[in-house]
Amino acid sequence: MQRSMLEVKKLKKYYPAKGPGFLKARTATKAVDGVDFTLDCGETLGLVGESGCGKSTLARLIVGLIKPTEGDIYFEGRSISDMTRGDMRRVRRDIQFVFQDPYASLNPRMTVGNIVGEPLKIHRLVKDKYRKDRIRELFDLVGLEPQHMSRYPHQLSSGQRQRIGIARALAVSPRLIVCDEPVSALDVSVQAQIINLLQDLKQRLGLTYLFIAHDLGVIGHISDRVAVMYMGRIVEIAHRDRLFGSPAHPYTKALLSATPAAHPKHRKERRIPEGEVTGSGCLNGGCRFRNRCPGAVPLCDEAEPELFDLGGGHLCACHRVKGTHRF
Amino acid sequence: MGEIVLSVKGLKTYFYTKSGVVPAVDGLDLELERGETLGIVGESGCGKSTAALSIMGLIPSTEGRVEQGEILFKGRNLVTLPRVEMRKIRGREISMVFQEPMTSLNPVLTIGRQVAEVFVVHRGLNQREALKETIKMLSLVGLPMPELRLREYSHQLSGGMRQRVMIAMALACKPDVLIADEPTSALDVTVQAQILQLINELKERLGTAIILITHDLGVVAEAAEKVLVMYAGKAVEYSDVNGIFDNPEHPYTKGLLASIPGHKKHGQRLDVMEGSTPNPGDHSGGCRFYPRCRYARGICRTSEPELFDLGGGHLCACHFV
Repeated sequence: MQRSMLEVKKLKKYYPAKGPGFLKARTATKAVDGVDFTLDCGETLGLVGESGCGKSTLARLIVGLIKPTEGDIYFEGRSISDMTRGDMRRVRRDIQFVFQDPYASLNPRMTVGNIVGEPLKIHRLVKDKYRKDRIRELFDLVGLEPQHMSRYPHQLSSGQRQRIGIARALAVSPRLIVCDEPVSALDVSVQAQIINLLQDLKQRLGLTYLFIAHDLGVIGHISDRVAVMYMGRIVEIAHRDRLFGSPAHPYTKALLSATPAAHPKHRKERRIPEGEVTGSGCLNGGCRFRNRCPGAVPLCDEAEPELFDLGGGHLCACHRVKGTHRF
Repeated sequence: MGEIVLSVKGLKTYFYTKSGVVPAVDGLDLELERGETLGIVGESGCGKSTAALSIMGLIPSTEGRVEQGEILFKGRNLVTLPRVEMRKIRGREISMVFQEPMTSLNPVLTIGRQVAEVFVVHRGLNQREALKETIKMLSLVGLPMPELRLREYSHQLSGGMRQRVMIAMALACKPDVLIADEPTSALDVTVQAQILQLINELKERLGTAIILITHDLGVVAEAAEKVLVMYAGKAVEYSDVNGIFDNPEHPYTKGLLASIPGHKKHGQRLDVMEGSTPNPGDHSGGCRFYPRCRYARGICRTSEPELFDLGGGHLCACHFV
């Protein structure tokens, strides 16, 4: 039995609507609205969803960049919100973050060597005289040459910049890395290099990933389990073979059906849901997908479906799936 | 073989910057048949968008120009056409859909006015007739409640609806050629599928030939009949879509296909091309792909391969194919 590394319980993050008005509380943006999942040691959990579904907010909550409105995050069984500052500092080293756009997340006035060395300084991990050696080691780990150390971010290609972003995350020897769309801004050929690098690092260093992407190809390639998010909630979570082979939730089915074919011979008749993701304020109560769902029933208007175990760790939040499931 | 509506020969488009001349498109040939969809694939900086802007005559004259080559459309060379004539063609006979609909729609004009303008300018209709046509066009592209949308502004629409409006404008005059530059790259995958489906349906209905520019081979697999693969300002391979996916010949095309991750390849290492896409103008003679090519030999460094017909209209520019 694997130990769970991270456990997220009923996590919520609401952003209050700006401006005056007594309906404030009602119109708050519910970016993350009740998310539960666990992440085991050494696994890669893929988190997929369309823009605005709350996946990046969830990532920021987990690394502690923002505070949750409600709910809790447990790292190795301990609640992060109850931690003292000293403990939190320790946890920050264990959980690191890789951002989507390496250009925006690297200080343009620092050499990339200093960027990678900064976490070492902040966490006082190596003596000053050994810092350079450690940086060189990290550069080697992510496939960069030592002579790159004195360059500035704008002098590197986008793939090299993302390698710097990864080296910086690795500097403090983390155990969990939250990758928020780490390859989405890259060209296909460079994207493949970074995916390979992330997989190699996982094996060599025994890392655990929470991997966020909107691209199902990337998610299916790298993840052990996949969670699908829709409007602030996880609607389905399963082992990747189950999720791609026999998806249960109508939204997951729609996503898979909408993904372009890998080969022109596999062009298919699609069942694409009508419409687009609506703002989170306008669907009060009931299932969030009901206005786009081809199989919505009256119950979907009344009650919000909860995640329900279909067996083998395949969870799905849909009334109709639950109704037709045989125990 | 169908009738050829557009043919580009030896197109070279150069930009002039402080740091020198940038040959964004450096000798491109292509032919487009009536009613077909040609996918142009390549990574950033390969010149695919510049090629599109050259065809449209939209290269800003302060920054660059078409240096050489011809763009033949209905017997006329668009490169040498006077601006007044080009304005009559642009938007009526050849039109374009851009990647980011938010930045290509005017935020201070209503949707109705913007789409109606096409009918006023190109077909000489009066406002009332133009609005009637606009409503027809908007419902053709599947915009719900078009009468209401007329009075709305672009920020009130979702990304998918904005792209539908762009398509409505582009197809308003039933052009012979539609150039779609990354039309779905800014959209979510479910919306992307809707838009691709729409473009395909309209093509069938109106018989428009489409140049579909994308970096996404999935989009090509989904919507194109012919494919042109570009690398560093030049075409490296051209074939019908099955040929590209079944028998890719150029090492770059093979590399691109092998780089695509997927559920079925889980856990395997992706077969990658080392290095990254070159900046335009970085090369000096020889094959542009040779620094990244695993099959490169001496000849690749010294002489630049030309497109060569492998039979059945499958062209490839590589010394070893």
